[in-house]
Amino acid sequence: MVVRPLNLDELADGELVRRAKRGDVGAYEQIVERYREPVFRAAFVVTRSQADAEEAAQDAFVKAFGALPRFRIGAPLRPWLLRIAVNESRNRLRSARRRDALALRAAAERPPEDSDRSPEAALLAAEERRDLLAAVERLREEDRLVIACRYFLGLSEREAAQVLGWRRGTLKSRLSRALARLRSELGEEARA
Amino acid sequence: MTGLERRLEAIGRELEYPRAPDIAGAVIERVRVQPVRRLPARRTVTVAIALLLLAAGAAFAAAPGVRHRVLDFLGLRSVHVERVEKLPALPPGRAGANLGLGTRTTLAGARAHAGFPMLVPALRPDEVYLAGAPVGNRVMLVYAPRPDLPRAPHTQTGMLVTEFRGEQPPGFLDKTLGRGTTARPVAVNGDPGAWIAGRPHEIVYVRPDGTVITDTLRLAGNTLIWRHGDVLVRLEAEVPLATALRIARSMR
Repeated sequence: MVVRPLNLDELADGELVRRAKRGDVGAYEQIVERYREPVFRAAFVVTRSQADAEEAAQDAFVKAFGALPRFRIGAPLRPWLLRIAVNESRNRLRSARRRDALALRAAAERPPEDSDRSPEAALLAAEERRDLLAAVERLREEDRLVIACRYFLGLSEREAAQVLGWRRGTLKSRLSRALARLRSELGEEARA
Repeated sequence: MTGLERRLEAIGRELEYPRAPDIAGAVIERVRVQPVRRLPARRTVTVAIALLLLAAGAAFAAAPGVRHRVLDFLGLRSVHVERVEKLPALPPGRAGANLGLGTRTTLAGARAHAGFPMLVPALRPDEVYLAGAPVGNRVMLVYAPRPDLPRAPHTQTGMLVTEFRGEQPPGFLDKTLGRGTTARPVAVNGDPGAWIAGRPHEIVYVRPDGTVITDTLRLAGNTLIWRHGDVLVRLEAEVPLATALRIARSMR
């Protein structure tokens, strides 16, 4: 006799959500496993603190479980979870218990050893990236957030709008203004 | 896309993130004791009771988050009651193939493969199932509805008997009870047990590694649950306690 156990990790998001909505915490655990990385990254991009991001991610998943009855089966899960995570993280930004924030760092700050580029070119590229990140850091929170969602987290305009709770048109205009302010931070008046 | 946007995207791909922490265990522990839905505006206080039938003390230690909430309620050595603010959302009951009972077999097949001495009522089951998950080997005896075993609204069966070894690999069996459900200690042929009656409740297993698994796809109605040796037996039927006890005591 073959007894085949149910493999939750083979189930599609919709089926996991359907089970989790009925209180199946095993199914929900699978959802957490599946999305803990993007949720944590979103929280980290907003809080820039590992400890805050971990707490925000955990709180976001707990809140999302409580909000599951309002989640429509078939709707995309990732932006919904990220929206909750970003809200949790923003709340933490305003919290008095906030921990020291780190600066975001790009791996390319360290030139790869097998790089085809000359050491000078790699150094220059690394410097540009550092300057750009530093300029993003100097922006006000809303500008930083919309840039982080769209480019750092790799969300489409539609997803970014959903995560930030804005209409798509609002997202476009705010993103455009944030980019203009970033250019001005960089001393780039003209479009690059 | 402008050059600036392309540069931002390139940076996004190379951002250094700390390793995403393993938060699933902590999240699940918290959702187990948190309400799924907000309390209604009228502030009717719903006190839910979860009956934790501990199969192994060590397993209970695997879920420290609920330990402080557990009250020694029924006075049975291995039975505890957990009060939670609100029950998780209850699944709609489904019948037949959707019960997720496992693989269909025969009584002889179940006896041969269960890996524990299973008990069978004097009344022979209509269907027998064996499942390897989620709590190790689990045998289910299914009875079609009949005059003395009315159709249960949630399982569409007359009676369901579930048996599995309590010590390994399952941790404990946890029954989450809502308002209108009562639990009282009973003895079945001298074995400790409990009778849970009233409104439907859900059944949750917690494995020794702390993984919590809800017995999906169905709700339990009136339930007699007891331990015979290291085997946990659960008898579900929409019958009075006396009938459930009579059937349980006939099990050999």
